[in-house]
Amino acid sequence: MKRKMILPAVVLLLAAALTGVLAACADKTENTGVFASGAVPVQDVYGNWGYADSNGEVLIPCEYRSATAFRGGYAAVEAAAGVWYVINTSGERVQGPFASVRIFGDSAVFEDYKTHEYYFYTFSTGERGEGFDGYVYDAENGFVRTVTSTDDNVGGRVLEYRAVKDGVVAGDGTAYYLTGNDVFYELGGKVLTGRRTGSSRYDFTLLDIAEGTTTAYADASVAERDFAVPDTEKLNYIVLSSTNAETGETNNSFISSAAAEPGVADVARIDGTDGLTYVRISYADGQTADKYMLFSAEEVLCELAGDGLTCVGEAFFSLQDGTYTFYTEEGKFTHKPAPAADTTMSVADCAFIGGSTLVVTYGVENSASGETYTQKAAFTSAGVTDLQMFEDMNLTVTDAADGFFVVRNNGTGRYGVADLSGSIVAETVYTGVRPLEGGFWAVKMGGAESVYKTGTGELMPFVFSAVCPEEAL
Amino acid sequence: MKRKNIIISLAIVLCVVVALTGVLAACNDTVNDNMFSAGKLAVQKDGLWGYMDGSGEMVIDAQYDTATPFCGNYAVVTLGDKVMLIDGEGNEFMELSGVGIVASEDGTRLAVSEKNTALMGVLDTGSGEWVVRPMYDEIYFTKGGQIIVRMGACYGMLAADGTQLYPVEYEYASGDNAVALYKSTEDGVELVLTDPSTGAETEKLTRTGVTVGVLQGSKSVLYYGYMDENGNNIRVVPGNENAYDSSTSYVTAAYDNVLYVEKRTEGAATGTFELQKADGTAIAEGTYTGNIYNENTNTLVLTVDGGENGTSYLLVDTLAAAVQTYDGTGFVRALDGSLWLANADGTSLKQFGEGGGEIALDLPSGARLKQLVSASAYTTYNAGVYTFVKDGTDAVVLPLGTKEVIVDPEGKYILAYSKEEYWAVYKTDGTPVFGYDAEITLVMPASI
Repeated sequence: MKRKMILPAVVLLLAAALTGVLAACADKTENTGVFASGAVPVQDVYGNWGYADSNGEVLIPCEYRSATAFRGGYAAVEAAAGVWYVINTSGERVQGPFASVRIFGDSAVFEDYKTHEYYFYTFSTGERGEGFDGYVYDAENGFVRTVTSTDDNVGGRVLEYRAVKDGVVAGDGTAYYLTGNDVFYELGGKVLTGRRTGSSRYDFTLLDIAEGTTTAYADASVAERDFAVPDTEKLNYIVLSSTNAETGETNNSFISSAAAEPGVADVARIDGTDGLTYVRISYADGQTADKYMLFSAEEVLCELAGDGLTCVGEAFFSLQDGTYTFYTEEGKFTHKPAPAADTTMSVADCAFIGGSTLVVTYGVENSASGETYTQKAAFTSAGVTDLQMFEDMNLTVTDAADGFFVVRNNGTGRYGVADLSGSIVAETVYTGVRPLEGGFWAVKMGGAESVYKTGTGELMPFVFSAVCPEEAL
Repeated sequence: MKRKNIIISLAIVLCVVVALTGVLAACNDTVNDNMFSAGKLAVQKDGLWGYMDGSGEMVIDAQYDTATPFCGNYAVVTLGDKVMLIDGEGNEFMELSGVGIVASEDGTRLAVSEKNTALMGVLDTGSGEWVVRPMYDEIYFTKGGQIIVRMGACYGMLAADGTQLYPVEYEYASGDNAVALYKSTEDGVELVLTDPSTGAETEKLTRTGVTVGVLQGSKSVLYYGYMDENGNNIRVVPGNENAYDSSTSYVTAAYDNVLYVEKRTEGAATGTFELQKADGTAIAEGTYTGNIYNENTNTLVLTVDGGENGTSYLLVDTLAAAVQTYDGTGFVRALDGSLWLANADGTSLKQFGEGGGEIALDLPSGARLKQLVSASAYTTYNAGVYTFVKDGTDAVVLPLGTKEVIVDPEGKYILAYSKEEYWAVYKTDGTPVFGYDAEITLVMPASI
């Protein structure tokens, strides 16, 4: 009897002690940013993938060939070559096997393991969409294009465009039935489909995928088109020509990813980068002056009356009264550099680091001594940073993200993180630093990786050969 | 010394083993003697390594492919591809990524390559804790136990407890006389010299055009050079009061504790040499037509052409930095460091230096001296029989079949090697630790 009374007390004591310990542990564990779902993909020394929390505690064992990050509470794991499952944050296989899986968030595309038919799936409702034969995901412009073959004899297929936003694929897409004679083009976040009406003539429909709005261009031919990616359907702009049957007048429409203009006489491409196009548009009415336009896939960046832009590297710029205005895919930056006495400055190069930070290299010449050197400035949405301070510290800026720079020590070859004012926030001891999201970084130490959080430091010990893999789009 | 020849002839077998232990030479626990570090001797039996204690008992079974002597509480062993640290009981303590290991001189620190990162860190050999976390490409220890670390092309220095003394931004060079860290700055070359035994900063200067070099002899002598206002190349040897101005002198070589300096006039060689101690004090000067250095006996023999007076020789004890005329008979370095000159028929030895002792070698007919341990102990060989003689009596007569005998540097143990390629170990008082019947195929004393 006595024993029975003591045992519960012992159990209670243990439980109290345990929860005390667990509470202390819980305080240290990250659950924001990359750890929003609690765990990130990690690779062990044998090359297998599993998931660990920010302390490096393995929550889902490393037994998969590949693993994706959790999105909306689900992740895709490859259990055997070409055999995928969907797991939840407890590691339970909730869907599968599939031949392939792509999880957007609450929406996903599954490829049936036997039939290889693709279909959309919504986790919250369990709803399964109609099947299709293939799909393309344009992450940059935020849409999915599905392709379904038809049984007709004319090579027909149904294209359906759906916007993808916050992990959810729009339920109703805009569908186009196109035969082998019909055409389609993609201009950034817009798609232009053409149903053949005659020899080289089509009834075109221009769809803005995100907005869902359409514009029609009846019975037009393609006067001109400029490819963004050669040998694909991706264009920077297209000029459609339609003839008024009654008056015999031709009307040319200039359509880019960012703008649509009627009444155009001629479009000449002056210059461009991977993401920017600079054209001169002349108008048919004989009155409207030529317009020079610089546009990206998303917006018109600049419209000028005269040709005032110069392209260097990955940006265009204009110079007026000592002030430079740089136009890039990521936006517009102005800079009024203050050259030292007897020096002249000119833009030598413009290049992006970290996807959205523009580094401008100025060539500087001292007219008195003839000495030439370079000066670098970095532009982020937070402002301009003179990179000279990093050169003085024997550091090279190699990447940028979220208002921080990844810097490499030129002597030791090791990487660290600095803020925009030049303060080192992560010491240059790592053999590699890769930005993740929102203040999280994948830091590499020789053969092992860990996750680093700005302000906190290394979160987990260096026991995994890789963490948070970059995913192919 | 013959001992070294044995080691070389076993080179193929020892290749990996020596790579593992080459720099663990000083890894002895000061409580136990140098042969049995941490009380254990690494021995190989049937091709596998284990550890034996001083009584001949195998305390860790022979099971490893390679093994190092114990350093503090740990040793490094390999099993196939696996490299690991084991503790005194033979339990696996930590897996490592490679066999590249370095020990500090006092044996309290081990620089190892960590398993996951494959980068170097420093472990405390007593506690097994990381003193320096693994993030370096390379690590060295100074004599005094300071830690030199390298990342990429840059070096820095940490104290033995891991705290930073100099940041990782320098180039590095070291000699027995100084450790140098230097880097280019706007004002020239910043050079920091520290004492290898204490880590204390002995000199810090910034000067344009400074170059740092090391004379490699049996000792390595660090110097730095620069050009003075007169356009002369000046060499400064830390610890040496002289500044060697290339117009008047040039340090051509270093032999242990002796510097060999060529005299010059206006930059041109004169053919006259001066022998100096490490601190620059001259001990001899003359025209030498030949010099032969013997690293086994640490002696330098200089030929002096006396013209009409004939050729004579100068014998330099490069360890003691002492000189005397050489009378043409053999000489022998005892294990205790003393240098002895043998007479013509090898029956007596006279100690080098004034007032030195004399040993009458009372060898039986046919016997010859094999190794001199000290003034009162030596090994002899006579018709296949090796004997260890101490204070005039035959302390150990080694068994027939012994092919070679080595006495450990501290004079506490005798290692014998048999024709069947087995080792035996005796204490110098005659007690056997283990004989040939133990079938030990290789023995790894802590200091080779």
